Amino acid sequence: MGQLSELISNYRQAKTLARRLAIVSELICEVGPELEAYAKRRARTQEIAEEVYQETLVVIATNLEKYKGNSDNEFRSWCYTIIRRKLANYMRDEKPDNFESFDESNLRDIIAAGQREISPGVEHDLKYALSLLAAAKPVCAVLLWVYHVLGWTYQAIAEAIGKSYDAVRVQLNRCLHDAQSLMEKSP
Amino acid sequence: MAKETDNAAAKLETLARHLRAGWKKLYPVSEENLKKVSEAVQRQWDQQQSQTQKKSLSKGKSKSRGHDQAHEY
Repeated sequence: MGQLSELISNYRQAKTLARRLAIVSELICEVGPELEAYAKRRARTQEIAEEVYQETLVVIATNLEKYKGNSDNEFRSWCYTIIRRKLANYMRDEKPDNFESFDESNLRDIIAAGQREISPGVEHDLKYALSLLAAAKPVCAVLLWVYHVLGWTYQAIAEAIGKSYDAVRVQLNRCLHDAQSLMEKSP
Repeated sequence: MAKETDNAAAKLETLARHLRAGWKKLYPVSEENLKKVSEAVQRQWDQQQSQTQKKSLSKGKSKSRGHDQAHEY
């Protein structure tokens, strides 16, 4: 059982307000930072990002009883679905954009903020992963990003991009394979 | 081929772990936001408690009403 799933399981068994508050705080501290980063990347202004982010945290905290998932990625997908819908409400007049641009130096800065020293083996894996995203076609880079990095489930991606579950599953496998081939051609 | 893609997927997941660690350092949840969340959870809890109390009170009332009715027979 993942860390988030364990916290949710404990939340479901919590009998007191104090226990419930402690678990909710821990959950929010786990998922909040990546949701804030997402809102800041996606919102038109920092004010909208902040507002959407705050509202999302409250919605997550007060709807935990309705959440039915069992895995960490299901929980992440649920949180991202909430923030994605809130952002869409704020930006109703704009054409929704499914694409994110990946600035490798920006991602490097984020990694460096989390851990100053990285072992050569991990560094090799990180370099490979960043190159894979860079080599992938834009649509594939986004799919690989949301599935493997943000942890969205097939179902959440299908809903976000308006495709079927199976279409997403097949496309993701193809994307990973194609990105690897592209990397081998231009390493 | 499946093994290679599994390997690539594992490397992307390593990237995910490191990015999450970075986001936690860059965007820690503020005390203000935690306070707002706690207040919302507390309000919800209070509402749930008062609803539970109301329910048990009305159950109690209908039980005693049933009891009274039973005595009429």
